[in-house]
Amino acid sequence: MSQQNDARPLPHAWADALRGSVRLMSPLASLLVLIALIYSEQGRDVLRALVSDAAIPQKSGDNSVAGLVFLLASSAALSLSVWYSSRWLLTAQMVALPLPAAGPWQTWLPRVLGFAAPLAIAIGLATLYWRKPALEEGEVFHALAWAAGFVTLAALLLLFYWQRGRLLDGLGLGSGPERRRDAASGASRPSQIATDEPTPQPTRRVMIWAVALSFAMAGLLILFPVTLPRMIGAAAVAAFALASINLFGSFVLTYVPLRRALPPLWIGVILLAGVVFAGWNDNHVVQAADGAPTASAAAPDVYDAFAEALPEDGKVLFVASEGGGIRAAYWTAAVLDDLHAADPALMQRLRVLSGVSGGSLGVAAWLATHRSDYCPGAPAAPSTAVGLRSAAPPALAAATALASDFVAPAVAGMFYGDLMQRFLPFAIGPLDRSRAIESAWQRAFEHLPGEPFAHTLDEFYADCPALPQLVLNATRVETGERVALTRLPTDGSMFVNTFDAMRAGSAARRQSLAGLVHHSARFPAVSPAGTVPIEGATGDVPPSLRLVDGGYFDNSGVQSVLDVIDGLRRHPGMKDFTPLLIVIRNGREPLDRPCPHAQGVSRVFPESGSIVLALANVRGSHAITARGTARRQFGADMIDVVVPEEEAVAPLGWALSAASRAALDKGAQRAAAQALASIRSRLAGSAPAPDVGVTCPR
Amino acid sequence: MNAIGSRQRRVLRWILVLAGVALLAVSLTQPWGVSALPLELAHTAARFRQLLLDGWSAGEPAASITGFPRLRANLLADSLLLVPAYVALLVLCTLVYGPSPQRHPSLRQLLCVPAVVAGLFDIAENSMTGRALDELMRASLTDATVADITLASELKWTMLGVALLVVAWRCRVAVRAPWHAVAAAACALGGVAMAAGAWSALLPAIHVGVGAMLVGLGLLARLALRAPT
Repeated sequence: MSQQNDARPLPHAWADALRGSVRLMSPLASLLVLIALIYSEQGRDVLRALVSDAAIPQKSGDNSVAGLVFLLASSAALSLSVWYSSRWLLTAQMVALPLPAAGPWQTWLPRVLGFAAPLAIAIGLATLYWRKPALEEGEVFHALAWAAGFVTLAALLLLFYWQRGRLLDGLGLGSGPERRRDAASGASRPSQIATDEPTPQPTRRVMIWAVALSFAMAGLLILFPVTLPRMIGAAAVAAFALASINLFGSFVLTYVPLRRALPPLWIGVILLAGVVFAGWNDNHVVQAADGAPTASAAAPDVYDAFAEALPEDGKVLFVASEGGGIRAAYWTAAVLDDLHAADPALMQRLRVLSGVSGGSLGVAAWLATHRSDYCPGAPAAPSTAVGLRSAAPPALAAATALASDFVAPAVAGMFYGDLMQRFLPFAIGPLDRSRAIESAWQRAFEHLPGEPFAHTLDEFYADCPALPQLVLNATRVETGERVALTRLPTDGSMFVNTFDAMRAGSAARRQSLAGLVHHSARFPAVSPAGTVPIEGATGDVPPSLRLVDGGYFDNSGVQSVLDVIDGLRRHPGMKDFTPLLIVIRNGREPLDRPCPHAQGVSRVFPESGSIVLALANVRGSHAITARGTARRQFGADMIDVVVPEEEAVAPLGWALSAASRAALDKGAQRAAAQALASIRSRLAGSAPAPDVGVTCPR
Repeated sequence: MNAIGSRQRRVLRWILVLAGVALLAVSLTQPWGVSALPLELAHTAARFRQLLLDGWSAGEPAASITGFPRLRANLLADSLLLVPAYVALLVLCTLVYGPSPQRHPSLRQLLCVPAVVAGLFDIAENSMTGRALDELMRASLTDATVADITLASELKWTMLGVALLVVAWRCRVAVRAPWHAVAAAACALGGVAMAAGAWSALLPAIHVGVGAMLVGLGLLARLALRAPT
């Protein structure tokens, strides 16, 4: 092996670069994942929320810089992890992927990579200045000051990586200046261990502590899957996790095998997790709600209930709310809150709320909050939550309850519990990240009497026949069928081409409302597919099915409403009724036609890319078809409630900053006022106000 | 017992100073006769609220409370001063009385893990208590949040108990001298009392455990400072 790095010819340098990048796969991947998370729409909004928390406590409700301090600590941990692992990966001699003796780039590349982690966050914070929603006066200072803080941290860490020898020698902990000099030339060089040399004792000590702290952190986040991630913050949780994952990937999967003349173990581990263990370790089997009755309640006679409660003029409201993560949930709840505040009597005409993904969370949240309006005398167990001013918890609007951070529990579950589960040959239910998300939703609505999100749908409707029916739309993985999670008949008499997941014996019937909402909102990667066992399955009924987000089939929720209206009308003896359909949308696209896509998109990987692109776009097209069909059937009786353009700044994901919520609140007031005018005019039989036209972006 | 160099003595002195400052800061930030311990083991939101109003509201009626600055300061002093002090003291004692660095280098490090984990649980518990205050001030506090605080506290006392038992065991194995035996016994008593007290919600047992820990670790620190170089 050559000892001279600077005289290597270009082909050798290319080969060295290639070998070096294979060695550095783990630290590079960790950094890239961090950057991807930080610069996603949700990541920027998480940063925005942290700045708001620090700057405007009265708006966020959490007067704390704790989130930013944790992010500072986690970025330092990731920086140290990336620097330390890169340094060993580049400077240790490895039989399988030899590199020349340590030169300047092997010395400086790890330092620069370590420097990059806090710097990426600093840039993310600084660029908030140019993004929508615009930072408020007090927030600008905090965003820029904290960005400067992260740059300072990055600079201090770089200084430490550069001058640590002198620093440690000064503290009496270093190996002495002679250890860092080349014996022959006397020039400064990093320590390098030969292939046959054992790993030094200090390095082993670092390893032991890194492993111990990583497992301690994992244990904490698994034990406290909601409170602790919310306190640390989603970005910091991700950075801490990446620091641990990088150490494991660098040393266990790369360093050790390469030093023993073996290939990196990445592919083997992925195959082990994805193929070998996958048959035994499905920990996403749904769990029953606490105290769920074992015997399913008899199917309600919804037809009679519907007919009896029809108003004299026969005009009733149906709501369809489209998917879109927390943006959809918050938008839906805010619009319905505003409609209810403006005209509570009008909402008594509401009969069915159909939701998809975040829309399901929105409609369920609103209905749970307003349950007592539909059945004021119905008994409900008092909430165990308390308020400060009085022992009873204060009444909160549905949208206010959705202001909690739901993304941090999801991120913690994904990076810790569920990731560990993939490498275990047996299933451990508490490691399922679904439980963290569902638990977070349950806690958000624990202040309501009866704690509806923690109980089954049957319990939710007990003693309250006037409560509008929820239809939570999901998709079955095995067949692509729509699945309607509802108390309405799911046996095929109402819904077309749907699988009856609410049949007797299905575990879905014993799930909490939060669990059912989650089936509808299991959007890709963030939430896994949920496995629903079916007891006593015979013949055509499978022993279990897997459910994912309803948006795969129809992201509008309109198709299910059309099925319900058709099913009600076809029922023998049903009274005549006039449905008004309120379609709540949080995206900006025309109602019944797609926006033309740039032609260039389909020219990237034209063969394989076309398959993926077509499959992805069909999803959106289904929703447009459903809305277009509804428009033809209902005409002016379909009211389109779309988020105004200037307020359409909230991200997808599971958390909203105070600024994003404020923008949606403002938009909801305007949209609800317009929708109310249209509804009233249709009830009066006059022409409605024209819909707000949505034009495609140029 | 492993040799104690001048650098370790210096570190030990600094840790003792930090511990003294931490105890003073924690005492000054809590009202007379009130401690944060009952809050840790409140179990329910209603009980947590009652303890807050009784002990930390400075006599203000619930309707006019604007915050709990003293409790926040107490939690901060605990997390930033007391936790590093007791973790450092336990780690140092474990290393001093632990296995030889030449013969069992990895075991020596692993024996320190319970003390560090206890510190992490303590910081988590303090932070979650702060979070509970935020929730209560903003909207409502749920049983689930308080249950998390209680679980973190129980695990903290348990891990602290384990760390003390490790010190007691190592001290008994390493040195057969009367004062070391007394210190080991105090640590062992402290460890058992803390764990038992936490899981049975018996606050006096935890107080006994803390007292025994102070006696045991204080004695060990004094013996270490006086030991021949």
